[in-house]
Amino acid sequence: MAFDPNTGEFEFIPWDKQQVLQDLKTFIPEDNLLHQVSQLTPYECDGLSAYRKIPKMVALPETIEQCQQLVRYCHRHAIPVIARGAGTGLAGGVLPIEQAIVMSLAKFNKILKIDPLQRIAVVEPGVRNLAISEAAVTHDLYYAPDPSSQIACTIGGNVAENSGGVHSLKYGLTVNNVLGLKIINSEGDLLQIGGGLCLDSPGYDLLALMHGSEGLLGIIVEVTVHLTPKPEEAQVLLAAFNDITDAGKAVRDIISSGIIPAGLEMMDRLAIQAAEDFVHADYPISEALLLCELDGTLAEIEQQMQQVNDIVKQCNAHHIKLSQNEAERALFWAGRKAAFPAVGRISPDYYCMDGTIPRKALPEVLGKISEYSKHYGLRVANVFHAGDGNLHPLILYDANKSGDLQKTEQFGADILRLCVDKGGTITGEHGVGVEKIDSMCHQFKSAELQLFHHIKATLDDQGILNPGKAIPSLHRCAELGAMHVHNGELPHPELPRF
Amino acid sequence: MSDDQTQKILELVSTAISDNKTLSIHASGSHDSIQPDFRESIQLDLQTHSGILDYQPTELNIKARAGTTISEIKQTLSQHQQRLPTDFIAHSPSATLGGAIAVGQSGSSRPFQGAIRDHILGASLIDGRAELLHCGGQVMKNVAGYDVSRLLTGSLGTLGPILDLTIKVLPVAEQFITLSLEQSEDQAIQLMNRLAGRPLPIAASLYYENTLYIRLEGIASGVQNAREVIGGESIQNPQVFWDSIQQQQHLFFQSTTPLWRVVTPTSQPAFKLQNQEDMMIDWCGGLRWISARQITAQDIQFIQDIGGSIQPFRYVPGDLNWKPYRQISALSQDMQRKVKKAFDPQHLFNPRLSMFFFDAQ
Repeated sequence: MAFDPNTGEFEFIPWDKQQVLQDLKTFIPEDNLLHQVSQLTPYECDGLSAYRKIPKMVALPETIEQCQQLVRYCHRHAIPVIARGAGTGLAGGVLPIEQAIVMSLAKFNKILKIDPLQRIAVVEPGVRNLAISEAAVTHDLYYAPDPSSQIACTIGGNVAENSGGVHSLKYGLTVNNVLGLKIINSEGDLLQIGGGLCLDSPGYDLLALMHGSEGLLGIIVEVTVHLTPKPEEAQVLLAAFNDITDAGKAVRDIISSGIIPAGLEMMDRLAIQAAEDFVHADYPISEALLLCELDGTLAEIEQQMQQVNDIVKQCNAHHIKLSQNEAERALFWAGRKAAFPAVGRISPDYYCMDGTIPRKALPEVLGKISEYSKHYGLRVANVFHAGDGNLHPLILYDANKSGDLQKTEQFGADILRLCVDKGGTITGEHGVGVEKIDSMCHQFKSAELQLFHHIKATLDDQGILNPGKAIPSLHRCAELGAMHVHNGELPHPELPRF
Repeated sequence: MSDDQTQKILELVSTAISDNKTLSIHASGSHDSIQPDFRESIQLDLQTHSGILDYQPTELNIKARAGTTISEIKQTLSQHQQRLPTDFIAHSPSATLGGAIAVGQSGSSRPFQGAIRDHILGASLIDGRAELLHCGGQVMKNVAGYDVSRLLTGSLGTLGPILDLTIKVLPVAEQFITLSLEQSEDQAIQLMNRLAGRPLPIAASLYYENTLYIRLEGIASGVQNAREVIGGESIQNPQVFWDSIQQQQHLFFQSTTPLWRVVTPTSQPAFKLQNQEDMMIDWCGGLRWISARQITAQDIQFIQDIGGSIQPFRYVPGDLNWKPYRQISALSQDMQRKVKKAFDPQHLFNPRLSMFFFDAQ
């Protein structure tokens, strides 16, 4: 068996490249089949470039029918298929594996329909996130989820990862903004999932199941999204603090006062410094910086901004500034949105984490991260969606230094373990991919992992869709657990040990 | 007490597996009128599995056992000026959280504040292998593992008994008013959709008997501004009016004529089914409650052609011809069958309700 649902183990038989190429040419144009190393290199990794593997073949189908034929072929021959969007993911979700064909959906880049009265857009999966909002702007509508990579990332990838963004506190994640999908299942059949043009559909909520399933349960070939009316105005308040705990308190007090900001972001000293040096957003260098965006009518913003202003003052903000116009608002955000590349300038490499914690645990978790940083001798810049409790600690390291990457990964795993122990999760929006697959063993028990494997096995009997990602095999967890025996309790005791 | 109860439920499921018996899962029974009473050999009553497990207002979520009543949750939230994040349909004061999620029907605010499923953060359930599973969690963003907790919405207990749930909550709006405007059906559908495309604090829009009702919720200044934009009259006791819709106590729902739940695109122009007696339009046009003695094949075809779906909403006791009108493609049924198999390979849980999802094989 290629895939064992009881353990999540899989094995695929090597295939002959020339033979497969000959076969695929009968239904996919030859120019769209890449098999030379020079053509394949761009597909060796996604945004998590620490992991690389040159795939054996990349196919770029142009029609849904070609996608179906490719999946049918792979199903028949038990060849793994990895669907890929723009490759901006940060968790190695589209990292090629031995014997897989990468299926790029880059040619599916058309917006099929925008219906302003119904406030929906029907788009192909390779359409960029930002392109939807750009196309809807003439109707004063936009697509709300805005991951940092929105200029490049595609909507198909957003669904596969259930992407968030800086505005998800108020406007939700991808799953909250998608009404329907067309998917190709592991046997190559085309299915409509969800309500399509309607707000509801009969049957199980398969739309929810598909979101964040990282290409393991089906291949997305069309997406119907909900469009949101553009708010009349938006304004950002920037507040600087000498103590990061005070900034954490301000977050708590803003939320408990009944305000739901459109965005509520925090950065620590290292991140502020790096961003300021990079984009000159006029950030005061301090221990913590809070950006609070409110949107609505001018009167609404005015009323609530006064409250926010009072709260940050009470929490000892030493510098408060309100954006006076659209250009200044964009500038305030520019520093936050450029925080990752900015950190990239001060360190040869960095590793971006994505844990989420209950907001109340923020000060404690930040304190612990700082302790870990000293322990491992690696610097950390903290950038996070404070309103959601979604942390993005960036661990700074040098891949050329022997042992640095291993130390960094260990540090990252410690942070994720801490997030789970504080009632949170190992990934808020980046997905598991290959990166956090070991941390899944800490978050879930065998029974839950096994259910995930059963879901996978019933929907993909050959296990050909993106195998090895997102859900760890039970043996992997058992082996890992053996390295981390806690209080003498052996994790996953039900598995035989060899 | 309830840990013991969880243990008892686990034992009950284990017994069902070993004795090859089936279970029917119940809570308050407030939704029993939707379908025939399918009693299985083992009864699992979750109504007593109740109580709020964790509620910290600043975290904007609440965790409660499945048998906790919606009214208790609402009351607890209101003490902290918070509320449920969207309208839940609760047919009686004893309606439970678990029941509402298992039925999965969202109330009037669905187009503006999201469906019930949009606000589920985590759930515990027991699967058909008698395993206690914890999926999702208590944080706003979580993409670890498949989204099992949202998948449970509308599953009618067929994937396993839900033991507890964590849902998002929101602050109570500063101001809440409802405007009424006299409109023809077509005018109303156009207007509710046009207004929904503008950045106004609309929480619900509903049309009945030549009147369009628009609920505004939000910051006082925003609500006042919207009131000027929209016009119309502010109705008295708006809470009573919307409760009558969510609890289905409104006069429209009192009719003895069979009731149909028809989901359509929100901007679908006015239509009339062949034997239609009355209609109420909710969800900004996306949900049409229709009372009609009978539904014809042409009606069903028409609804399918516009991309919608129709379900009988009320079971008339003794109706031997009763069946859910599924309108799920064979391929999609196959996918649902597989999902059921992954959770419940022996078909232990509410087996006869599977007809809502797929044909028996």
